[in-house]
Amino acid sequence: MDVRLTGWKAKNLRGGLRDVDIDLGDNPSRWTLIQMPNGTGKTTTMELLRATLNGVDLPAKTVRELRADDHVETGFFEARLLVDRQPYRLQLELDFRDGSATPWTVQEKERGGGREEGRNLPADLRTLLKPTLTELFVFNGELATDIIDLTKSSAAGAIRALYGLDTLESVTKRVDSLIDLEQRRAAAITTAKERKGINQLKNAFDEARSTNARLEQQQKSTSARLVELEQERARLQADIQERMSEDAGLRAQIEALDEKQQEVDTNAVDLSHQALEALRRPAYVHPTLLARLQNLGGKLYELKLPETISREFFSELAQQERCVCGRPLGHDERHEIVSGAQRYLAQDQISVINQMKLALRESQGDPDELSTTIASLQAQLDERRRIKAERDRLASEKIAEGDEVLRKLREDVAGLSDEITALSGTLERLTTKDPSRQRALRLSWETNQPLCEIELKARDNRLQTATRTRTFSLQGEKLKAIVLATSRQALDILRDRVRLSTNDKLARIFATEKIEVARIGGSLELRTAGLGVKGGASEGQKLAIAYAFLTSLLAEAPYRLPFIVDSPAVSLDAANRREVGALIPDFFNQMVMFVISTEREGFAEAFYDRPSADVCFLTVTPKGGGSVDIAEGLTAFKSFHSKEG
Amino acid sequence: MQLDPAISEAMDAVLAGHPDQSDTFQRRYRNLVELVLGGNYQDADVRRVMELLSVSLEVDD
Amino acid sequence: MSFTLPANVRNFFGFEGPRAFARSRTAKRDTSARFLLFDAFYCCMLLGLDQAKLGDASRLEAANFIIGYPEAYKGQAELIAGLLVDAEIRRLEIQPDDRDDIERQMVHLLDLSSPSRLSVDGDDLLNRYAVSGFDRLKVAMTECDNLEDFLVGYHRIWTQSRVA
Repeated sequence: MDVRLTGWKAKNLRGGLRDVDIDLGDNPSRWTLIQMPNGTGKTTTMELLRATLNGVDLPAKTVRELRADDHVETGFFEARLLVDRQPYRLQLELDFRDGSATPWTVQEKERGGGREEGRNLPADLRTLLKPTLTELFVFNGELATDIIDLTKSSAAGAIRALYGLDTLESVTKRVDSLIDLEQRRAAAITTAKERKGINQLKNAFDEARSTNARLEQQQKSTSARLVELEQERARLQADIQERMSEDAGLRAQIEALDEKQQEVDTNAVDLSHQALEALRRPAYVHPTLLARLQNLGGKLYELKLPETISREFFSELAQQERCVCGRPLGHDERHEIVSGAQRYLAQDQISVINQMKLALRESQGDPDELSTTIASLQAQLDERRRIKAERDRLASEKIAEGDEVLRKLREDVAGLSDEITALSGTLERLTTKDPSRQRALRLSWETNQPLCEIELKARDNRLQTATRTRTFSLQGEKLKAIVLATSRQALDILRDRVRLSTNDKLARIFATEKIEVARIGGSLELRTAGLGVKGGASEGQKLAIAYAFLTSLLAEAPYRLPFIVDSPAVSLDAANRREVGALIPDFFNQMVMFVISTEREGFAEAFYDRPSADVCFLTVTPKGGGSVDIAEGLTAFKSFHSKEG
Repeated sequence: MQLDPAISEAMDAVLAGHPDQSDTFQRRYRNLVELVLGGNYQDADVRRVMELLSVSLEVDD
Repeated sequence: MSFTLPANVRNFFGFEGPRAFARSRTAKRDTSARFLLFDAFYCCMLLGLDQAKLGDASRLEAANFIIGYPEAYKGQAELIAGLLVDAEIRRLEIQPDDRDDIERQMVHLLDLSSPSRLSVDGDDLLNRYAVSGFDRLKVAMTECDNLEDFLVGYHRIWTQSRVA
């Protein structure tokens, strides 16, 4: 990106800036020298150039101090630029009454463009033009010594500003705010920010997980044992059967009992089917219910419920010309009919009552059917008990006859049955998902597996959230470290690059004493080539070095900026002026130099012999009353006499 | 806006010191730096790059 | 339309999910009749309607277990509605010849468009009758672990205690 200054304008400002318009043309000269005596607004111009370029707000006090006189209420300043050959006018509208300075931008385009409030430069240029940077190319000659002065860190600061390293490092603030936001979000679920907190959560999670594993294991082993026990019991019962049937006499009896058992079981199943079916019909449940249903039906008939005439009938009637009785219906009659209709039920209300009435009338039930079925079922259950008792009796007889084996078998079966019951209870406690059972058995996540799973999930969730937060925070720290490392590394590379480039130029300037930059720390550390640290350099040398540095800095930057300097050589003696005047101008693409008449000798003179196409000489003469005269050309420039010596 | 070679070089050097990070991260990081220097980025971009970093959660006490 | 079980009914009938009497390890599950959640509700409801006493709505489960009648009960909607009307007439002590009042009650309780033939109020009343019926059931018999014993025990409640 190439930026050039094509002029500026000031109105109603103090010093010589009541009405000034400096126009450097669409294709400004490489070097412009403006001879401006002190008091004609050099400093102010520089200040305002900086202000329009870097967009920093001017304090009200500063604005008011710019006021030309009491007769003016507003003032104006405009800097004109070419950004990659696109013209921009950055303006400041100053209001001396309220001390405000409002920026405006005018973009002259072929189509569109126009004036907009604000400093509307291309985005990257706008970001770039910060105060630390504008100070470097809208340059105050005194800064030169700062650059060399070891106590100030302008050199590194300049590099950082120009190459955007400050901007890069500002990402670390975004990272911090992202982490903070994340932590606040997670705090709703868990407040473990610190590592210790995560450990606690992890321990809690591990605890729940191992409890879950333990409960699972218990469930498996209990189930397995239960199956084992049941199998064993079944085996023992089979043994008992066998034993009994070994006895020929008993065998027959037992077989008979088995047959009976089969029959009873089948019957019981059938009967319970039948009973349930009957039960599901209210009319069959009990005579009382049937009676109530029939009663209600009868009552509906008796009371002539529902009406056969519906509300709709009357609404329709009201719309007819004549009543059903033949009488013509007038307005009053209709009204009466409709309001009277409210007394009647709506059609669907009638229908539902009718449906019920019908069902009630048709409801029949054999009041005894269910009772009979139940009685039969009862009989089967009794028979089942009797069969069991019979089996027991046979077994007891055999035992009484001395059959120890049988007795032991039955004892064992009884023992097993007890164990099975107990284990079933244990299994239920381990596995029930029914909340009311869990409450009734006073189960917790440590004793019931479904509850444990829920607890495990909850702990996992809390751990994950905290871990995610911590992971995010670690990622943030790492990114910050990488960004800062990148910035530092870039600074080192750039420092070296600028240093070498500076020394390159210095080699051309200092023919005799070869001063070079040993290191760019905060400032420029000098040495004499081949020798040690260079202590105090002369003023001329310092300036030359500063300019060489600035050129190396600005020339290779992503942006080509104009170099605008106030009194570039005023503190130098004539000889040094010549030195500087001869060499530094070649370093810049565009230079605008404000000089006072005393700098002509030595410094400005160096430009007289340059091709006229490349140099523009302007002379600003105060006329009194705050206005100035601007003369162009070398003649006027040379012949200017000021009051200054 | 092209990135100054010093910045690219710096990123190369720094990323070389983090060989454990994925190619995707490295790509997106370079892109982020470019966007930042151009004033053309938002928090969501930073967040996405952060999430690509692999970190280890040492859970020691 | 939305039938809701009184609290602890599932427990009483040993429901594990949709299966009743599941805690019994001896029941022949494959062949015995399938006892539904609705059957449990219905048994309680009938007892409550019979005594014309309303139970406390707070003792119902939080959500309904079914909307509308299950297949096995599809033909009984009008009769159950009739039992409800009858119970309300008794509870509110409406005179048997008070035509208007009876008509008013029926209009309040019935809804043609509802599959249960009952209005929302009607459904709510059935649920509350189920609550009081369950109380009566618990007093009259202990938990059974199989269907057969339950059927016999339940029937006994009807034959033994007669409420006018």
